[in-house]
Amino acid sequence: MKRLFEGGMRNKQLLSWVAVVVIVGALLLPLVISIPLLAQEFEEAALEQAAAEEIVGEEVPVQQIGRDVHYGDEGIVQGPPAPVTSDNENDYPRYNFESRVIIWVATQQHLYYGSFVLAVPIFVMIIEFIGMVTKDRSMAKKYDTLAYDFIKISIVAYSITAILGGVLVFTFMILYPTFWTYMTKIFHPAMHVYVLLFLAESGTLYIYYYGWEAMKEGLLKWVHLTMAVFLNVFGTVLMMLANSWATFMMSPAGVDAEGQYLGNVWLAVHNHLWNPVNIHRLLGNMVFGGGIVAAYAAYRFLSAKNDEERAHYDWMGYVAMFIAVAFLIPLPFAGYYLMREVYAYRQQMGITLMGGLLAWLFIIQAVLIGALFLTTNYYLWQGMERMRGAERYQKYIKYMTFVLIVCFLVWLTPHTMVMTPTELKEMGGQQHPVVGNYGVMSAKNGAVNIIITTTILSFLLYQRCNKIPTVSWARYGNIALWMLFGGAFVNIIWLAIYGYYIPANVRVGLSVPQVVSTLSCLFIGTAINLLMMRGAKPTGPVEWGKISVRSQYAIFMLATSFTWMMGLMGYIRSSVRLHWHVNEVMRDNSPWAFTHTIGFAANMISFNVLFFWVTLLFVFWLGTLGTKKVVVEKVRVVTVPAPATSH
Amino acid sequence: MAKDVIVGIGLFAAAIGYFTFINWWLMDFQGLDYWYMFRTGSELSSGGH
Repeated sequence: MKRLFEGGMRNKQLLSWVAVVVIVGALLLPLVISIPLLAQEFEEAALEQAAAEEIVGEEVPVQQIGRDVHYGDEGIVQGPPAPVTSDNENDYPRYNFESRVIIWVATQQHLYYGSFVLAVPIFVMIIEFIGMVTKDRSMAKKYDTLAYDFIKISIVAYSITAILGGVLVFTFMILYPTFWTYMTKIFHPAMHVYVLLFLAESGTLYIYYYGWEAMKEGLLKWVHLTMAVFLNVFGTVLMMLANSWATFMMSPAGVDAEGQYLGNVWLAVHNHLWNPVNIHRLLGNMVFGGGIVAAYAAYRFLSAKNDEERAHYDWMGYVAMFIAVAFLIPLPFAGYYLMREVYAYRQQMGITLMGGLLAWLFIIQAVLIGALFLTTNYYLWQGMERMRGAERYQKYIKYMTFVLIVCFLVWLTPHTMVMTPTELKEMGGQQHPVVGNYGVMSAKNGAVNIIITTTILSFLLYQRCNKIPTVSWARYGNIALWMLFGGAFVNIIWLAIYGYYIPANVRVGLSVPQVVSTLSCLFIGTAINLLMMRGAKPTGPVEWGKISVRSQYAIFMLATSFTWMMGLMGYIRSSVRLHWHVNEVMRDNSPWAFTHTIGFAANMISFNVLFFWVTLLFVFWLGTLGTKKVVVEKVRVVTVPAPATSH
Repeated sequence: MAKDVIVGIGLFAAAIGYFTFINWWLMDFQGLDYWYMFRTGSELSSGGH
């Protein structure tokens, strides 16, 4: 036994390990207990009711059967019909203000913070893992410090998220009590799980954060990483549960046409749009979280007092940006999948979104996406300044800029213009005879895929710009890369043009090979590039911190654009229900059941963005407090022995 | 140099072959006809109105 301890691990480590297992087990216990309980809940309740009725000698009423509004299955009705509300103080209590605007702010703020604290632990886990498997000790330490820096920011944000969650629930209860009661009648088992998961996530997060120092070596470090996995599982399931409530409102399931609950909460959770939104939100959260952390790093970079700090925060900003962009690339595809499912669910809903009432908001979204990719490329090109040898590739930047700008213009061209009758007459119709051709999906799919492929090309150039390949086949590797990207550009443009020659039901399928062309460049191109860079001769180290100030403002631009776009798309997703609380099941009879003007919506989104960033600055400021103290202490140690020679 | 050009043409042809294959295969996978225009001789349409 003694040998085991000496050979394998120390007693202290073993005890700590056992303690962590017990704590995690205790955290999981409520969940383990609750799952079978939830499954039995309705069955037991029905049996109890039947038994009680038998005792008093009454006849058991015939059970009412309902048909699921989405899945079409039959089920026993276990809830009242969706309430029919009216514009009164009981259904819609109010302050002297538009209740929808209040709920809009509460929901958006909770979502912003929630997204941030769900995303950050995912990449903290990845960075911690990279640090653990990195052989270079100094680099491993750097990664570990970076992961800790990330989680430190999210810990304050986590508390704010919880507070905002409370604010949101109370706002629903106070301003929309009838609707909220209906939702809780359907989702109460899932809501219980949500609360338990929240407790589990909080406990794990705090142990994970405060145990960082105590669990920094050996087996305990792996236990620490395992906790990060648990933390992310809890967080992701939490997000998915909350998503089910929002998507139930769009594409209800588990209820009949009257809105009567049919007793299977899983059907209500697993409604038609649940998984498309889950995927889209998970990716979106990662992009958003990466953007926020990058902005924090940029803020710290700009306020850095010495080169060491500047180098660290430049690197931190780069890693965060890398994560954000890595998830930004598949995000439009997840968006397409979501929209495809929206159309599959209700074609009219898709048309309202992209071809009707809300279509102009998609033009704004297009502008933001274009700006995001332009800025990302700009940041990468600025980042090349850190490396000697990058000048070899700078001559290509002007061509890439040209391609990006042309595609950006195609991407944001609206299908039809807002015009006066005179202008309409002069132009001969709502669609411009030349520019109008770019306002259709054939052109736009081509444009956005070219934009993404060009961004991938920028990444590959960045990856290799301080290295000279030494492999014998380097020349042919370069030719292969040129031909791969050239072939992909030709194919994407060909498919875009081909779309004009075939009917809509065939054309819609072309987006898939276009996406695969782009992804081929990503995977095959990166693989060839990495193989070529094996044993490459470096032209000099990456000089972290030696990057223009402009690049840091580009990061702010990116982070703000992510925030604005998230607010915009959230509004679009929610307002597509039009005058329904729950689409086609529970009507919204409040005085605010109308669609706001684009201008009003834009102002609301801007307000939410501003409010979020102001509060986030507070979080950033809190993050600097501990660090400042350390810096001061360091300076004190250095200056005390030799005060006469220091300034 | 001449060898580079030949390799380049060969690789470009390979890339086009690869992309043509994925175009056909992915359309077929969706139950759609990639060669629609060539089979029917359809003319210029709206492109997605």
